[in-house]
Amino acid sequence: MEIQNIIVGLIILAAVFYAVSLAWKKSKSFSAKSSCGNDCGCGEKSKNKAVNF
Amino acid sequence: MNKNRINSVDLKTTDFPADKDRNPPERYSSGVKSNNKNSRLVVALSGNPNAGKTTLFNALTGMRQKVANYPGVTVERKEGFWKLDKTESAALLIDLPGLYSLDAASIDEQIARDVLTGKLKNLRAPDIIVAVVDATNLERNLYLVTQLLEYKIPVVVALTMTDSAAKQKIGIDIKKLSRLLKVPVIAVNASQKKGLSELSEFVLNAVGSDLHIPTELISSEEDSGNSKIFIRYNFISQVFQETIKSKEPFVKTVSEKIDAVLTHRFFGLIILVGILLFVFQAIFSWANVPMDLLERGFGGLGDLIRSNLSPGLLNDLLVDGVIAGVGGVLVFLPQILLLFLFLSLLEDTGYMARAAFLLDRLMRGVGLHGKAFVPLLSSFACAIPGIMATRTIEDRRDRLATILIAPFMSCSARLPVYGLMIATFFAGQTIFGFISLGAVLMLSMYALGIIVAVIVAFILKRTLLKSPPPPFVMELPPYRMPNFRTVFQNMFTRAGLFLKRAGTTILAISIILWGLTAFPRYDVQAANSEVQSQIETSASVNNKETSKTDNGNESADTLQLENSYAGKLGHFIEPVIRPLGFNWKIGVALIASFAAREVLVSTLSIIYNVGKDSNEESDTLIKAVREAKNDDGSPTWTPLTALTLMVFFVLALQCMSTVAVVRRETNSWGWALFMIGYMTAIAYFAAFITYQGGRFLGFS
Repeated sequence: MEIQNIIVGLIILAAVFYAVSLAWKKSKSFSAKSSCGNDCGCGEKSKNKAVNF
Repeated sequence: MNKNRINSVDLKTTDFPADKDRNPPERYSSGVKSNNKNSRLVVALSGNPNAGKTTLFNALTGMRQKVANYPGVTVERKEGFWKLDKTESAALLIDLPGLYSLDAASIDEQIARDVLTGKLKNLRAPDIIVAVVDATNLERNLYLVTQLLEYKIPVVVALTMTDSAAKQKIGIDIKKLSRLLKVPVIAVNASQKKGLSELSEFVLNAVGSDLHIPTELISSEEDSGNSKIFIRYNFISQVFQETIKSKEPFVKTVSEKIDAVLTHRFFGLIILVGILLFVFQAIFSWANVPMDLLERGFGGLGDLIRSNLSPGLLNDLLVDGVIAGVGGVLVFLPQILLLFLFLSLLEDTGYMARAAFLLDRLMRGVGLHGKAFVPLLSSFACAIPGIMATRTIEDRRDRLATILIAPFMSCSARLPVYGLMIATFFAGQTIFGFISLGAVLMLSMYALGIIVAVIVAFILKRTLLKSPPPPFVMELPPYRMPNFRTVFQNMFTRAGLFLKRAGTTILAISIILWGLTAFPRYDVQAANSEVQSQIETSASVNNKETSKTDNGNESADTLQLENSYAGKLGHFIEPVIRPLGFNWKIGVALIASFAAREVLVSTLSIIYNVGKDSNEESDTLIKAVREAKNDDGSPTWTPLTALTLMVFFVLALQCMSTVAVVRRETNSWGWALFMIGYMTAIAYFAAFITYQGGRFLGFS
């Protein structure tokens, strides 16, 4: 097997692993906890500084 | 509006205490440190929203704080440790939600009442309350103080925003205020750490002291709720008149003069539409050059890798998967930056509140609560903070209605999709010779989201979530020069989040999608011979040319894609999306975009092999989309298809994070699933009407 094919396989596996772990984290956030997605910025806000009600 | 805006120059009364004034009055100095000798002193911090409570909390506790939720609800519970003096152990400081009153109408108010009465599990009633009072809005802030005084817990008033009050020429006689309220009052400036040690001193001395409620506030048991409110306001009026020093009569401020025009029920709306048109026009025209540069940059990077790396799967993955996928989304960064620059400017100048005020009549007309504005406005950036901001809405049904319509507001993730479609089919076209068609279309997409949200709210508030809208008073902040540091900070924070998303989620999805389009491998030799036979068959049957005849390699790529996992998935859903004018390739992009909306752009880049050809004329996604053909040779994309896709994206809920937040905020799977279902149905129906209606009217 060509080296390029092996590298591609590893990269795809890593991407799948990342996507699955992201989905797993997201599914955990479906429960009623006090956190939110980091991708919108509000998660970081609540972590780092006080939130104005 | 703001009755407190009184012209006075007596600023000495709001100065920070001189040494001689530092000792609090004797009656607060009984010296009892806590109700319970064995436990830590508990101090509750209470005040109106935006009174500077959080800044004071941060200044008092530093990094010694923790954030959690109150049990069973999504109201945030913030606690920290406040070192009152060197000898005392640190007090537990509880930051109560920002409140206007303690009437227990909203969840926040109920929680605050429960904290003050010690009804919460694992948290006893506070030993003392620090009431944060905004000096520029004394009259309004004092209402909460009068209610706090009734809880039979010592209160210390921390007067904030005294510098702003001084600028507005509001003079407050602090000593008199303290005498009338019968509690210690201290001016603090948390950001400059002024008055904090004095506040600690006042708190230590006031704990366990004798309580003296002003006689004017004492009401009998027979007094009704309304008469109690009347008694409080009478007292506040008296305190206000005796403590605020004014030397000049009340005059109309500049803000009020500007508001006469900008909040005019007719001209105000015209100005609002004009401002939004300008914003969108600027986004398109100003972002052109940097977007073009970025596009060329990614094209050049792709060519560099293509020519320096030996041909093979890795070469294809890097160029067609990573660079085309992530680069396709990243070229929209200038538009995102400009959008947030304008949103931050409008917010920081105070105009956003006016826009909300202008649309208030419309919202009230459909039965939505006035407080729904802030969550809906936030949703233009991202639906997640918007949905979280609905916590301030008291009525559960009003709150649910707002949550259910928030994702209709066009968030920044939709911008790359709108940007691609507009740039491909409507760029350079104008209306009346000067208004960009792209800007008008963009504004129309934002307006479509608002209109559908209003219609849905109207229906929900008359069926599933029936309840009368409560009265609402909106506070308009004064106009001010924007703080450019805040504006740019906000802009770059958003840009950072966009880049982070592109470098993580979109990168991973691009790689996976490339894998789905590249596997299983299709035999190119067999493909080419199949193409040749198709050419011959096609030529012998009729003279119609198909795209497959143009280029052998392109045909092999098409066959590879068609026979890949992604191709099979696209073909599977094609019958459902065909009535919308979408073929199976768009279907693949649509499925992928349910993870995140921007993924549509990266998927199209991968599907159309952007970057495959080194020919400069054909290496952009825009060109690839324009030239894409169906199997019968007809163009895949037309202006009507582009419009239909945009309509679908305005209305569909394609964001897993939003679903997660809805589930959490409503504490129900039912509402989250209902939201996915009804939004997808509306999106499909609206896209169907757009496409079929357009065709019926003769558009292609």
